[in-house]
Amino acid sequence: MNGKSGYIFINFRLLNNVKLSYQVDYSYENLIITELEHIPPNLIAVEGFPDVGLVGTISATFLVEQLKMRPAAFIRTELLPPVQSVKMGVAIPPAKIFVSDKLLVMTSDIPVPPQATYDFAMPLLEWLKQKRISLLVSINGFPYEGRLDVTEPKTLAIANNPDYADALQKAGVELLEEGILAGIGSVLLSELARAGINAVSLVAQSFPNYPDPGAAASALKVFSKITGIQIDTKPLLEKANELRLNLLELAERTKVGRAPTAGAQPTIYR
Amino acid sequence: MDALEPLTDITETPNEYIITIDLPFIEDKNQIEIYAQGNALEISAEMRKAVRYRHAYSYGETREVRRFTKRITLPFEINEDEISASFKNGVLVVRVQKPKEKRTKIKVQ
Repeated sequence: MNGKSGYIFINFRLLNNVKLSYQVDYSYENLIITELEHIPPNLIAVEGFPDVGLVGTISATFLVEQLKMRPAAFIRTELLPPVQSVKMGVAIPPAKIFVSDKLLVMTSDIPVPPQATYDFAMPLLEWLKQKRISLLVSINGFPYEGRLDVTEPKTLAIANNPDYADALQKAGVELLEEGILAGIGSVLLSELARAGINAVSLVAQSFPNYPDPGAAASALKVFSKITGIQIDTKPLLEKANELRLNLLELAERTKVGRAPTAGAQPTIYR
Repeated sequence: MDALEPLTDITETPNEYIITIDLPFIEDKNQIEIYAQGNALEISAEMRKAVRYRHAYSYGETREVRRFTKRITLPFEINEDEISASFKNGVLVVRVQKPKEKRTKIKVQ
């Protein structure tokens, strides 16, 4: 990252290389996905919208940067506040999709308002089904009271069907036994189960209201285990201070009115 | 060079206020100063060198920052003997005890 651009924005420098001659709109109720290039089937989709500790956002953006992914689609919707991200003098919708030969990453510069979660997630789900994704990985943080005392936060997984949960466990991934999952990922998980598509939510122990690159690194290690895509998280940890500083405003906005993302159920319900 | 307001959480318990402040680029407790005056706490932390900070929502404005400052007002006079502070993994935790309320038994006539 250089000094002239914030972390979550830097990848749009790649826009200079995008041929805007290809534009296909997928129109749904409340939301339009504008593809800037043909997105092939069988990709692994990653959901990393702003959430607790911005774990999803940090992870998604790091994947985009490290795997040199291309901006491939924008999400245009009136469910988000009427703002545009400005990159290199160009106005761009804040929610966007990046692709590589194996992955499709969805993220946003601004949080999705909690009350719009379902309306935002459902058309996204329809598009993901049309794209015939092979797997969805939703990356989130969950507020962990003891985070300050934990050097390497733990990441737990939640599958969207028992067979996939078994497979994850056999692969050495620790599952969240019981709890509550909320947010865009929760909608996608349950609806993809109905469509017969495997999906997993990764929830990392995180600071509730501060950007948490350590939690993102933990989630990405489990992501590697699940997908077989090697991710070197060392650069992420090296610029942890820079991320915590430059994501300050997004963290402030994300915590306002945020719905709980995930967490263990109260003991009484176990 | 500008100062920046850090991300801060304030939690109230029956006995105390717990203030946690995220301080990226602060490595050592000696870089932090905390002053209590009246019902206010003033916290500042100085980075070892200036870093570039990009405003996410201000037309891409960037500026150099070297200092965090935060002023927190509590609903009571702060007793300096009732404050403790610790710094770990880049997060400052300040605990301020609430004044003990005088409890008087009232005789039922």
